[in-house]
Amino acid sequence: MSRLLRLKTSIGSLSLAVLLSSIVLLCLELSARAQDVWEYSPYRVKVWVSVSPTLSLSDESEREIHRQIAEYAELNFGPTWAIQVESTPDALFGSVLYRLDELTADQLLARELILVVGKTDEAKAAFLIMNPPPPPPPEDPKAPKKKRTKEEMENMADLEARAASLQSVRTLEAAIQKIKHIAIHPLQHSGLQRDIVPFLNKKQWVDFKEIVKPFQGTNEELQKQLASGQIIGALVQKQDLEKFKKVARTLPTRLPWQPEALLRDNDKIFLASVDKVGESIRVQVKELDSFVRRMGEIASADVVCKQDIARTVADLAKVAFSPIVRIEETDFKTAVLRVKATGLLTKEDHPIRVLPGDVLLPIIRRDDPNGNPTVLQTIPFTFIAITEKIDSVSRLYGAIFTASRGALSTAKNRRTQRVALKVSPSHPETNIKLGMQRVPDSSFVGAEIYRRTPGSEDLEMVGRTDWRGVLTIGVSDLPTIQYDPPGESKTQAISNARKLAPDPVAPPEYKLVDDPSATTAASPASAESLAAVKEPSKSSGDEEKDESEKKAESPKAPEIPKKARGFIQINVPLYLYYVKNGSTLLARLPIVNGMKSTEQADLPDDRRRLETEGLLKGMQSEVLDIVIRRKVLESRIKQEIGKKDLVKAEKLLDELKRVKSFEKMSEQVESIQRRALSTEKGPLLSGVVKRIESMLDVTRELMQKYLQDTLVRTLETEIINSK
Amino acid sequence: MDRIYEIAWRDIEKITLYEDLVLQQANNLLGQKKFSEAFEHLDFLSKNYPQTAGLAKLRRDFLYRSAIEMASQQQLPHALGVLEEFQRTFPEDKEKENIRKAISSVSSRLIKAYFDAKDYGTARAMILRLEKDYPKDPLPVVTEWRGKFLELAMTHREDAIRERDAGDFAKARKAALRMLAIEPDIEGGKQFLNDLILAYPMIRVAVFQSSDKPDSAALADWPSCRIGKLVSNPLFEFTKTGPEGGMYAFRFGGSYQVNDDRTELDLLIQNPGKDGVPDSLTMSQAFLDRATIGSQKYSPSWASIVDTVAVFGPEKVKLKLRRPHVLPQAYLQWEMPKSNNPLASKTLYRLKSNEAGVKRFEWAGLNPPADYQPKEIQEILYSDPEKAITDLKRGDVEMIDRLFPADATKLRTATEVVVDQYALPIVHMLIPTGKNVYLDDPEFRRALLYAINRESILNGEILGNSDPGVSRVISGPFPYGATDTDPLSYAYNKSVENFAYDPKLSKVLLMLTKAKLKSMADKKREVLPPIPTIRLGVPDYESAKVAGEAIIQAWKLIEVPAELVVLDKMPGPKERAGLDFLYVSAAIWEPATDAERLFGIGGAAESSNQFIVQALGKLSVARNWREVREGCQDLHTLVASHLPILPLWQVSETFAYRREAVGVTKKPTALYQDIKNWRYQAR
Repeated sequence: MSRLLRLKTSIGSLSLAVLLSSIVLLCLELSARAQDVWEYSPYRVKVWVSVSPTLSLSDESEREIHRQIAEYAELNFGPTWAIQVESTPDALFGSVLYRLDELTADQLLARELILVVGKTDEAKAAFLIMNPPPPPPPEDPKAPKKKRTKEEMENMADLEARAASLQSVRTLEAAIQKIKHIAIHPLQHSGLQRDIVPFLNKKQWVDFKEIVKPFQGTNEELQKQLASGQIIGALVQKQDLEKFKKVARTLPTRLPWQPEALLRDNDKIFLASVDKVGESIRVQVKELDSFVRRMGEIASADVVCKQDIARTVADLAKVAFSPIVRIEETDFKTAVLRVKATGLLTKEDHPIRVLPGDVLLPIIRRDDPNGNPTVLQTIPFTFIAITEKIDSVSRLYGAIFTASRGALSTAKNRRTQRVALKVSPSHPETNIKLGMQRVPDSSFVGAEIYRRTPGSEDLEMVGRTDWRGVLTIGVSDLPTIQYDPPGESKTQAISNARKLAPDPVAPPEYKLVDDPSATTAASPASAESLAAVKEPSKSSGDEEKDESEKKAESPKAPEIPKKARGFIQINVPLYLYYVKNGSTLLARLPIVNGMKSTEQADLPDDRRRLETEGLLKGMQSEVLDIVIRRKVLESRIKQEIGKKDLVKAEKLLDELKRVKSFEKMSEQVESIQRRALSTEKGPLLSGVVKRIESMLDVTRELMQKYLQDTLVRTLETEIINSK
Repeated sequence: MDRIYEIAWRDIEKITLYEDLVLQQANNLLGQKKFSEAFEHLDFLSKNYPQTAGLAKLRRDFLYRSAIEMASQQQLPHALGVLEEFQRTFPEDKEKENIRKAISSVSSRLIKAYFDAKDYGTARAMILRLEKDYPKDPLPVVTEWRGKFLELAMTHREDAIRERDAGDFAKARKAALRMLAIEPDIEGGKQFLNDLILAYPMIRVAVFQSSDKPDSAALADWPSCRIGKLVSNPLFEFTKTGPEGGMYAFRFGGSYQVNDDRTELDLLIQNPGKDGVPDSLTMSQAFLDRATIGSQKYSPSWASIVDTVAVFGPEKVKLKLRRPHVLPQAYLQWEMPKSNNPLASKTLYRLKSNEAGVKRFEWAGLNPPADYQPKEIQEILYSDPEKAITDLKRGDVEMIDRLFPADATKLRTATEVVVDQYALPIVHMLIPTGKNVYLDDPEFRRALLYAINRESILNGEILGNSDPGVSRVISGPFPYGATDTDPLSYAYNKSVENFAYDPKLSKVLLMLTKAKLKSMADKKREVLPPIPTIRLGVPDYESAKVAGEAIIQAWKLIEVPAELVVLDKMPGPKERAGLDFLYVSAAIWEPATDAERLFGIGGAAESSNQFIVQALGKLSVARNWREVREGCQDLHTLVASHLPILPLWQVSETFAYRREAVGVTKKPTALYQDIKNWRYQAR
């Protein structure tokens, strides 16, 4: 986008029509070139190394280590990496060295220095004193004196005042020109003095270095001085910005040595910590992907000799490295992907490769018009398993497994980019932590969790969440997943991807399997049982007969249609975890065991529904028992009437009258309904209410169908008529 | 209409009265040794024609001949009775000397029979009676047996002295008790026994189940719980029910207190560091250990309620809870971990040996036992309740734990024995442990429950049709309590009706279940297996075996094959392979927390039913008694609907002890409750 803007400026004099057509053409060209660039551009890699002072390495030795790291990286990655190795900037040196495991991308950016300028009247006045309006240009004595109206005079004065005012300072460059003194805390000042050195070949940064002065005081004092106009501008850390909001405004501060600029200029930043632990040296490396601002898992190794540091850093960087893939097309099931820098490769086995069997974590990045990311979203519980190669260079097919169907498909516009990182599990096991939506720090206790191999129909119970809402999954078996052949996709860009590829790779052989979507769901057990209560008083001989009759009458099982499916064993333990509460499926969570130590999912609070289901299922069983009792008694009464033993028949009728009636059962249902839908214990989600009402309706229907009749009256009449 | 006939005197040759005919017939019958028929005639005449001539002779002859006959047929008690009646009725009969000799001879043989059967009490009672009934002219048998008894008692005394000197006080006591049983008034006998008891007081308990895993808080393992009370020292111990749940004793206490909003539990330790009493830091570490995931002692229930543990000096521990809880102390019924200080786990008794069905627990208190305080408790395993009762009466054991209810009723008449019942009823249930399509089906389980005539089994088979007391059929997992107002009954949902015995309904349900399962199997293209033989595991004690047998028969009646498996020990949750149902009796006296221990993870009836799991979760977060009551009653409703267990009945268990044992708590919750007060003295 920024390139387009620059373009627009340079051709400002062209007519609009010409301009638009030019832009369209250029966009197409850029788009085509961008794809070329993506797979043929190396990763721009920065390595920051924090070496502990306890190792007593000289500057020279450290520089040598940096050089060697670059050399080893060259060996590992060849032309696919353009690497720069340097010491970690001062502001982050300690964090990288001592707290690398906890360091996040946000923390990294929190120390970014941001320029703020005062916005109070006092600050504006002080600025005006510092920058008085320029004197009016000398008038040409020969020129005829132009008569200006009062209004014109006022406007001009206003424009001049505004040009001289603090509000006119809207860029870093303007600030450097117009503000004589920018305050900064001493610690950050000394860091800045060092960090700026490589950039002093530019006048702008020389001037900047001159005006930045240490401020010996607290943030509160700085705040006061900004408010009073004693200080016009200050560099403060991003994490402290909130404190200055009332008295100052921020300016875009792109200091080229700061992390934000580094993130723009690099694809990957590796943070390396080298510290002494006992008698050995511990080397830890973590990857930060610049594009999606995602910190990877830490890779760690202990070495004995200092000579091994460089090689180990390079090797660990290889371990921590996760190749990035651009997601080009998706439907609900399949994605077309393009792997970065693979056009530079000549061999098959390479760390930047992404191959069938690998699993990717998709991430969506949405930018503002300036190209700053506003959304960096890892779609929860969504993975893409690479299934097939499209061509021999960089394009692949992947099968999408997600908790929210279509999440990848909907995010599609020019400022939204979809990429994915290769997943490499590093934890021995993962805890699934279930909470409740809209209830902070809540735990979903006792939810049943089942596991399924992606794409298949198997289902195995794993366990139930404990009092923390946690269940640990430790499965490390690599599953063979099933997927739909991409060629069958209704999205042409997917189904035709292989046909349009310049150097296509033939698809694997698919297998024909039963189509699971063709099988019908079973009806509820209790309803089935109730329907089966017809003549319960039959002898066992009759039962046998019934069974054989049923066998004879039962329709032949329909032929289950077949469908083609692809099979591939994936390289990480990705499984689908189903969360069930009673008979309700609450979530379907694809999870890679070991990718994170904890996977958190917040689910709708379903407790009231389950409680009601428990009570209603109990009632349905009771209805079944009542129906059977009534049928048995009815049959016996009729037998007695037939035998003219009316005394016995009347006795049995009394027994029938004592069986729980429809009215009593209705009262029970009402009571359950009142309790289930009561808002005394908090509001109910509309979905839960709907489900509860539906269950109540089913129970009522059962009762009406099987209990609401005139059986007692009919039998009474029969007895009277027989007398 | 009656008709009257007139007969002239001349036509009458002889008058034989009806009573004479009867008398004659009686004599004939007597001659033929048809004694019971002869007696009927004799009895008729005595009642209707007492003036009949020859009746007295008939009676005499009847008594004389029947006595001779009975004696010859070794019907000694009857013979003696008849002879004595003869003597009382005809004291001056010509045969009086022979009769006296016969009485002496028969009673001698009778006493010998009792003596040989070691029924010294009866033998002795007989001698005493004969001595009393024949004061002026003592029977020779009395003198003869008096001497023999004394001689035998002296032999036992010598045995007792020898065993005492050899240090085997158990055998010495046995011999001394024999001595007193034979000759209670033997000179110095009682003192001798008292001296023996004083030298080595010991109580032997007849038990029908044993355990190697003492656990004073065991919910569904009676012997483990009993032994646990003897050899373990839990931090908190349930003592009785109160108006708000159970009441607990703090072992190291000082005292404990739950604050008003039930979010804190303060423990005050008395004499920390002394005699193995842990200090607050050690105790707090134990609390934290149980709340730490991954720890061997990790307890999810405890971890879910405890938030922080703080110590204030060596004496005070403050536990802050995550949320209010009505009974946090109920989770602390465990022993402190073993420490280097042996005093820390000190109990009054410890296991000394376990051989040939006898577990010996010796005194292990810090101080020597008081006079007559048992130095040893022996648990002797019995398989035959009748033998245990005989041994109790004879003094071979001093106590019986968990009597078969019908036996308890009979034993109450024995004067030398006290029969008492435990304070709280035990809930009996069947826990489905097998895994197959049938047992997983709630309708099948319901069919099995409808087939059991629980009222009949409880009242007829187990209680022997005696007064049921608090025993009754129940509809859920919690005790009904003794009365409607019993505080223990707070968890019982009285609106849930009992499953009535209905074999017809049961059969129909079975049929429907089969049809349903078959249809499901067909859909999966599988073959439905036939109903397998249901294996019901019952612990090896009488009432469980009796009930189990009746249940098996009930299931067979509805054509469900079943068999009984008698279990030596209560199997743990992982040791139930091969069983489909397990008969369990559970002491659910703290429903608020016991529900989780019963149905929760690792519980005796661990349930994976989502409704039950959620109900347990709801109960575990109950903040006050109203919520606890509601939670328990909901759980009861769900259990009755989904049958994760088949509820049977609640029974009040009983125990018996000889009167020589004193200080035994009346209506205790467990046998060894307050064992420190027990003393054993000869009376």
